[in-house]
Amino acid sequence: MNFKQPIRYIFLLVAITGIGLACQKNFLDKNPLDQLSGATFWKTQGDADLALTGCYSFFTRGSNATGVTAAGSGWGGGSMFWDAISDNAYTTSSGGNFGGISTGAIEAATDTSITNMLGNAYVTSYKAIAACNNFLDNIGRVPLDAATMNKYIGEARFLRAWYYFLLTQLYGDVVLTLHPLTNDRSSATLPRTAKKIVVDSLLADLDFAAANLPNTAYAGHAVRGAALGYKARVLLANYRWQEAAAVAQTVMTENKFSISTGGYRNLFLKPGQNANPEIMFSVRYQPPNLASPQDWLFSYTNSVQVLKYLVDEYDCIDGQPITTSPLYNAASPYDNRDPRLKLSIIIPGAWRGTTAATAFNPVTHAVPSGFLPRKGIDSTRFPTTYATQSDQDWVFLRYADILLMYAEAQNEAVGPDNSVYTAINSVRARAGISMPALPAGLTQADMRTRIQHERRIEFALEGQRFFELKRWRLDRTVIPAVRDPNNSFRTFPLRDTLWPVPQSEMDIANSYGNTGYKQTPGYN
Amino acid sequence: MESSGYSTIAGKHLRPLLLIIALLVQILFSPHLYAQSSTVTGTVKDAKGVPQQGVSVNVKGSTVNTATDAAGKFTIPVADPQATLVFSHVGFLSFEEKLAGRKILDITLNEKPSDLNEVVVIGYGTQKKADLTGAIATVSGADLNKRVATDPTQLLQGKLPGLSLTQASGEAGNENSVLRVRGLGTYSSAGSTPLVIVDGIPGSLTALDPQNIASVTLLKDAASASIYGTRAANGVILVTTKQGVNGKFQLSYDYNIGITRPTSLPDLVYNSVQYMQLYNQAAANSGTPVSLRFTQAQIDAYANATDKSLYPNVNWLDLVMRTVNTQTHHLGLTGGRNGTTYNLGLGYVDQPDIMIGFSYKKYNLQFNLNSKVNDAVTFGTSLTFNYGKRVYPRQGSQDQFLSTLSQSPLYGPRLLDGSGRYTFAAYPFQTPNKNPVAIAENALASNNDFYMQGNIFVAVKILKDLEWRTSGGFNFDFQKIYDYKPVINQYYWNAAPTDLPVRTLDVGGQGLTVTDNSYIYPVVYSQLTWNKEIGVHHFKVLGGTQAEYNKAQSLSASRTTYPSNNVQEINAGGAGAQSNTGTASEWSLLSFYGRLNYDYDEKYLLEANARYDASSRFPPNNRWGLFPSVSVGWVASKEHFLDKISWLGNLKFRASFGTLGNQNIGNYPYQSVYNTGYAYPYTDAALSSGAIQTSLVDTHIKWETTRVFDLGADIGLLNNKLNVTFDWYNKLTYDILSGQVLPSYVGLAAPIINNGRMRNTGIELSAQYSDNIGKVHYSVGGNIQANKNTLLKFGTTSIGATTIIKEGQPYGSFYLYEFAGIFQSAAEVTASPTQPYTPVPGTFKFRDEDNSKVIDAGDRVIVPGIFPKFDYSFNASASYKEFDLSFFLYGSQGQKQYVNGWGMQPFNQGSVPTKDWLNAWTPQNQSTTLPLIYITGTGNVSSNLSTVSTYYLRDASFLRLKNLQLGYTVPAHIAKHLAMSSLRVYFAGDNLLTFSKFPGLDPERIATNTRYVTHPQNRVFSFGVKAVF
Repeated sequence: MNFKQPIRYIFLLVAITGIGLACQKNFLDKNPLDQLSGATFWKTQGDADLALTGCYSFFTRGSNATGVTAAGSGWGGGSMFWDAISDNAYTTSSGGNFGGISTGAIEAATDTSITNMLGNAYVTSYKAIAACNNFLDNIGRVPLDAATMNKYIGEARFLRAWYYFLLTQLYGDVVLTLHPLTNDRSSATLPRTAKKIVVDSLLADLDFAAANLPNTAYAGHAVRGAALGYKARVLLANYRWQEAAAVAQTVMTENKFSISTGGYRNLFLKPGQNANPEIMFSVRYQPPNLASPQDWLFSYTNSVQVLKYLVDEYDCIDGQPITTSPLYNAASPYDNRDPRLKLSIIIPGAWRGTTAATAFNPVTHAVPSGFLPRKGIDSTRFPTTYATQSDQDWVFLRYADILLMYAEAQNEAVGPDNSVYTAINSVRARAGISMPALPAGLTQADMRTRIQHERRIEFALEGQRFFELKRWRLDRTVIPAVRDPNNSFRTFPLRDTLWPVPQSEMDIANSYGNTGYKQTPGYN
Repeated sequence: MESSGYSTIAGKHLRPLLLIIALLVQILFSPHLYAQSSTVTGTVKDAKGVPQQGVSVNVKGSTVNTATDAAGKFTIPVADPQATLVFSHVGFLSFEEKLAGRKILDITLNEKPSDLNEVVVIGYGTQKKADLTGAIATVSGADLNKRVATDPTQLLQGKLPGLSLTQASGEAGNENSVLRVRGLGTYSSAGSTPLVIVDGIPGSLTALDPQNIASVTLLKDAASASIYGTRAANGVILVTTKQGVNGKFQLSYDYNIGITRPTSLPDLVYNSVQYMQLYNQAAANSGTPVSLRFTQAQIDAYANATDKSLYPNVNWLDLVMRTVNTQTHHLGLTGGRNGTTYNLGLGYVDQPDIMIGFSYKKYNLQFNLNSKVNDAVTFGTSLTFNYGKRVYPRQGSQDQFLSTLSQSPLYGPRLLDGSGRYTFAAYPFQTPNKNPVAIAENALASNNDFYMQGNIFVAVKILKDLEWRTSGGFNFDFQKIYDYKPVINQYYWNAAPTDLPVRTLDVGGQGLTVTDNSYIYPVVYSQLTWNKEIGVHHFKVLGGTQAEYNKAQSLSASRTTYPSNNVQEINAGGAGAQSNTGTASEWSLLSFYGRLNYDYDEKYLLEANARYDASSRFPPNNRWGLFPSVSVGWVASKEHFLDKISWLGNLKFRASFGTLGNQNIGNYPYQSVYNTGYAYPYTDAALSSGAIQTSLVDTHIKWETTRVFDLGADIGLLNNKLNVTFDWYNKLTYDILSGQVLPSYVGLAAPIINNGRMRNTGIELSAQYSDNIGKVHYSVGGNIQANKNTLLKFGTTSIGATTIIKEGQPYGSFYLYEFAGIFQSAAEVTASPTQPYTPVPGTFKFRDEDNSKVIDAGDRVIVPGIFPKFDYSFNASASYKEFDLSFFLYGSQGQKQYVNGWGMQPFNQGSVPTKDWLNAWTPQNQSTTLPLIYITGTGNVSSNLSTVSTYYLRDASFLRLKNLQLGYTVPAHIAKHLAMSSLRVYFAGDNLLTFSKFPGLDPERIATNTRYVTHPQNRVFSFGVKAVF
């Protein structure tokens, strides 16, 4: 055998092997190419901005209007669904299963899904809380001056409070954690903390936010006014009237916000929402990157239909309810009514779009309730499609709410004094609405009814009614009295005042032996 | 189960084919001109002088043949005194003898060397079958290509004991076959898919043209697979492509046309009046407002219609399902001289789908070249280029199917006014899913996949016994996906010309998204093999090193507004709403491997393998892992004491033990990262970027390990006419990498940790018997494989919507409420334990398992059936003269499928109920199997009836005639007239018969969700030609 010849090839082999193995020094060290490494994060203010924006982004869960199911889960621009489980509206939508929830089809044991709102509100809230906790535990590593640092902390604590408030409203006692959890056993075996302790904790967050956020008008980031407004809302929901009145009073005194003079409807549409002095906090959208689903969802798929109960609640322009007002004419029932009716609700014959061809007909449009929402619906986009991308912000808090919260708290704490009248009348006298002032001499109970009425009208279809009924303990009496267009009454056993936690959470707690974690009473 | 409409459709397509066939038959069988002028006689004996009975004797180039009698004698008429006789007999080498004018012949046949001398491909080398000690199964390309498929993966079904293959659907180019070697090995994202090696380099089986495959080897146990270390835990499939053969240039051409239709479809109520009446009944039961039901006038309009085109009974299944012709072409060129051989294959497949809108085209080129430079040096290359173009409605075949079922028979796909406008529904309260015809005609996405795999090797004989081989290769894949979402308006059936559209077609948005996905995956290895024989001692030692690197990239751009549906490129869209995304990731692997083989006189066999691997996916301190294995074999039939047992041809016992790894778990699982993509616009001016941590990480994770113990035997009986292989195995996977179960309130996804432990035990048995009866050569065989999966360690039990992951049970067992019948009366409801969703008579009753008097979470029970108990197949073939016939049965026993939604539940988005629902429960017709009819998704009745219970768990066991084939080989002298050296024509049928209890649709499916509707499998009648020139 000739051994010389192969030697050439051996060199070739060595060369090929060498190229393969030695071309990269750190052949086995591979790091993520499109994500930020945790090891190098929290170094600059830019990192803090990224992380804070991440915390805000949870408001837009389900925002992308690429499909009804993705959009319809009740977050951000889908928040109108919350009215559908009150006496304001009706839905059969499976989006977030609000259709099922509205009829009282709540069965913790068989409802293991966390994709519907019963579970999604729980899971998504805790994801947001985890992002806030992580932010709060790490922001100290970024070199910032004290004031800037406290502003960052204030925003994160405001957001954390927002989600804990939602949790306590829906589930009562919930797991309370103010620091990031891990995968160890102690993290996995936390009990549900008493609601009162959770509320105290979130009020402390709001206090810190109020003390450290800029006291300016709202421009996207949370400000002191938003923190105070939410504090008032939390106090009210927990029947702490005197404190609530004081906090609302503070907002009024500091005078950073006012009732909009640009028209009621423009509070809910762009560009009227931009720099609107009344808006104190909202979920923001910017198509095409981040679009709201609301035009498509609420104007076209009929997924939320307004109930006649709400329509009848609107008074005549003389300030009298339709049952007593001489201005009410059953033949033309929508004339001479509180202007907010036609600004908020599409009545039969009203144009859904911009021409007569789009006139609303409940029969041909298969809307058995007879009415559709108009608030926050941009008629220039009609007919909308699955591809319609809305730019409207969803308003969470506005100055009218501060006034009405003040009125409610002051009426409960002190009685219907002058300041109560002033507050509620300044909402009724809004430019373009001009409803007459309330008659003098109302009793505290009368005033309570008037305030409840005013809130229902002013905030109709803004996702508040369900929580207000809860606050007034009216949910258990009002909701079972609702007769849906399918002619059946809703059910609302007392246990439904709080929701069950997802069955999957119970299963996990059981398998960890976490006995402190119990199902909401009535759902076992 | 089959609608009568189909036979007529198939008939239409069959007619021209039958004509062609009749013509061919006439040509082939026409009497030829050979006179039978004289006879030749003779005797056939074996080497020991024993006369052989049943030897087939054939005059070469003619159809004249006979067989020997018990004395080994034969008599055959021969026209040409210079003719050649061909003698063939099972177990003997075929023998040809020229007559050269002789009239009497004495023939001695030599025994065929047993196929134990056959060489099989193993990891980084080859080995004689007789010397194997690991659990290995092989199948030849010829055997695979008895069936016809565009994706060779499908052809492996039932062919390799130990490999279970389920075809997810019959969707063209998207069959998504799921392969499992010896059960579900792990539940982690590392996956249970076997590693596929094509010509020595990790590659894709799907990208090959089946005709280019020479053989497929399955490495099942640790002993055979551990040389692939870290990715061998789920078994290894070694594919070898066809190499050229030294000799004359040969051209071959294969053609097949397959008439394809669905195996089975549900039988639906497509009578409009019946549909409307059932709907109203359901609406009443579900409490839907009266205004949302059909009025009597509407029903009457259909019942008394004189214009049936305006008030039709539209069968939407017929509109969407169709019979199509699939065509495959393959051109092969092979040959070689002076030590250089080549093989070139060109393939083309045109596969329309049985569902409108879907289609697949595949173009394939395979080029293999080997060259012996001199006595010491050989080099070669093998290259595959594959281009596949798949067109599909962007939301997939399941969506297309459920949209079809959601359409009521009250309207057709387009309005009758000739405007071309698409129908949404007939009446406002109907809210069907999207119009599937509009989708198929307008909203199609396409995936253009360019795939290339190739390698070159150089092998050098450094010394007589020492070879150095180095090979470098790569895979490259580039996919361009066009996803155009047009705005298509839909109208009411009776819409006036000026009416506004009711809604647009839901194609999930608007505009065009173009996505480029690519990866490049280079691999290089270099190894030394030393082969030494010292007397009866035979040694073989292999050592090598390998490096791999993979980088995947993707880039996607989209624009929303388009002036017309005719321009579908990015630049044609409005620049106002545009966006883009892009990403990349990489991983690498460095390895050393080695093998030692020793045998003593080919009687006592020993093999040891090891691989030492390092992966970039693990933290530096846990990066390296060692995966050793050892196996032994004893060829008992070579012992003297067994010599006398004449019926025992071969008896070998095997045992093996070893460990394997799995590293395929995401690219950076131990690294804590902040995920971008959580943006939020504080102002209208800009969208601010955001980043959050979405999951916890464990910085100490390490390899997932699989330990396999295997015992096996190979037995050859009756002159090796009967071959039996048996294996028993115990496969334990531990340190399974998987997400921990954590409560949601943690707010972060659970980290991937090494925690789980799972066992698969099972047996594989295969047997094949071949013999002759007179002139008929036949072969029958079968195999069976049974596997039992047990989850040994998981940690916290995890409960899903229909399944439970619990220690001691098969992974992901069904976990459901037990269906306990249908409430027949209000009294029965009252007397029963409290049921969910306030039931009424006609709804479901569930069993109160824990006797708590309330149906709650404690009443769910584990129900067996998530995995099949066993899979089996049976094959038989026979040939007589020029004819050959074969069939192949495949079955799976014991698996259940949880199925609900469209087709199973009535009026889900208006979905048309099956005819069974005509017998639904009513107070008068107290059914015990079907509840009252209802509107799925509405109200308490639906909530009760949709509760996850055993009612929706259906037996998906099946046995099917996978393939039946009848072939005819044209006699050589006729082929010669056609300038061919051989010509075979055949008819085949795929999925002709299915025996199953599964209702309506095909039982063979992969449950990616609980929906009943999945793209059916295909029933194919095909005709093919195989010509060699």
